[in-house]
Amino acid sequence: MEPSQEFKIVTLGEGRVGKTSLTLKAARGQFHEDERSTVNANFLQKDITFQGNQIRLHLWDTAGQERFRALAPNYYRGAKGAIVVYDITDKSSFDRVVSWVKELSMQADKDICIVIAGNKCDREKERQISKAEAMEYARKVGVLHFDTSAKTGMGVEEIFSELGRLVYEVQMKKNPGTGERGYKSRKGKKIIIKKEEEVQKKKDCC
Amino acid sequence: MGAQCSIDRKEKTRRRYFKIIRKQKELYLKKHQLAINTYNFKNWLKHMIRELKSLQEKFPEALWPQELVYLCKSWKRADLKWRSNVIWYNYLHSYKSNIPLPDKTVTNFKLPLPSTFQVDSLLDFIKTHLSHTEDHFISAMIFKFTDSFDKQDFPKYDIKPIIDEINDFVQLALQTLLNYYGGIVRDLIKKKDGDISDLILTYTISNKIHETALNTYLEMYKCEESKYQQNIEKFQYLKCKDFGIKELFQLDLHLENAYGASIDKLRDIEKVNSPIEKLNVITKAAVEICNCIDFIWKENDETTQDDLIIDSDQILSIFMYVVLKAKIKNLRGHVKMIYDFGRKEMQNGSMGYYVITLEACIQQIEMLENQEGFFE
Repeated sequence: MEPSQEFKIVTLGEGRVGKTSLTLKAARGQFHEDERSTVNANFLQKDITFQGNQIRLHLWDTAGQERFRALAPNYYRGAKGAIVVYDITDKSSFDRVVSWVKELSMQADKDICIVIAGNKCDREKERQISKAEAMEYARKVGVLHFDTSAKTGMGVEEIFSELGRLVYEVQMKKNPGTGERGYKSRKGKKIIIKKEEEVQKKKDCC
Repeated sequence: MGAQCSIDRKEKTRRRYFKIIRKQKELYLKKHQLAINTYNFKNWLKHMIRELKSLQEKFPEALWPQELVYLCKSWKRADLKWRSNVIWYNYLHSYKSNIPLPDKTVTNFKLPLPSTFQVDSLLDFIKTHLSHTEDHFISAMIFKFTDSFDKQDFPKYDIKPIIDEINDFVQLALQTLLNYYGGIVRDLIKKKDGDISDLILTYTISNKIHETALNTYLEMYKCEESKYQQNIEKFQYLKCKDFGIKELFQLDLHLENAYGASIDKLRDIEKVNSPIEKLNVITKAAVEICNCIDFIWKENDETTQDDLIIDSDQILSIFMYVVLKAKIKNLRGHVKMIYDFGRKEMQNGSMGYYVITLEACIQQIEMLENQEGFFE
């Protein structure tokens, strides 16, 4: 089934928080493939179904190392959704979440939907950020927070499905007629492909 | 007597066969009648002239709108064969067997098209039409446009006039295509709206237009390009390790020409004109990166699947290495062409990802000197 809507989603966060593993888990459902070969994990797709609509999420993984920090705007330009990831066992990665959310609110598309992922929940004993603190921050900035584990798969489906739903609703509200397909004319107007006009005589064509 | 019986049987089978075909054609025509006749086939020239008048007002300095008006007025061919070819192609395609056969059989049909062809889709089929500049109107129109466009002068430091004229021409060609072929193509556009626009753009951007656009970008970003070229030369000695590429992907430890296939592929960007072709080159260069790593590590039992996952930090670092070694002149111009002339929808997919990565590499290479600690 062909998707009716496609949206660009970016994952952001400090290096080693598990962004790539999270998108890989979401898009493939597993870490290991049957055949061993090099995998380019920076662009993946995930299809979700919402209210009978097939929605395709284009998942853009971004570089997390500090030296590439300035390049992030290139990647989140035009994104309709963002997952800001931190590692629950690393306090400093949560501090970076705050600056990512701030930056996205100021510089990304105005209607971008943001969710936060507290990753590596399979290592609960090493937790440095309390769940209450993370939830309180998310509530304050008006975004959703999910506990995830790319290793066990916990919360992975939920975070992508929920983000897909949010993006879909925002975009449908913004462009109610997006389902209609047409062509942009020279003046920027859409050439709507008309319904069948009067039938010509068959001899006209062949 | 026996021979006569055999001839009669053959004749009967032949008649029965043609009866079935006739019936199928009737069914097809009945089913697609509305689509076939949606547009007023005879009026596409009038439609064109009307559109061209408004383009003449929009681009008073441009030569091509007037040239296209002349073309319309002098076009005396009926062009019926192209349209009926499309209809019959669609008919044959819709009755193609879905049953997988062990030995694929090929059926030859004689269409009014003079040459034989092998195509997978209606889009490919239309592509075969676009090289007939003599008697296919849209093909002639593209030829006339590029010919006139080449004679025009454009400002040295501003790409916008070139973008505007080309985009408007592509939209005009698409509208004409709808009127020219009718509803069958309309159905194709409904399903694959971007592909057909890419096809027209590919035919529209001639070598001369490509060169003009690249020269304009070069003038616009003279300082940046100069810095980029300087750094390319200055940092040629850098190794994979210097870019922060992890040891497993430091192919220069094993090969003299590390990532050579990817570097060669990326250089092909200079050989193609249209945004979609350039995008394809970049995507293939990214695929070659994986192939190069596979070449060294795939059969090695010490590596796991997890080791062979390239994350975004790694792909950016490897791409930087590839871009630096490829030493492509005016790479920024090629990337700008993709942004300015290509469809925006393409930029959100995998192709878009690698273009942005390439753009990011150009920025990084330009700033290499200023980034203390980048190579640590």
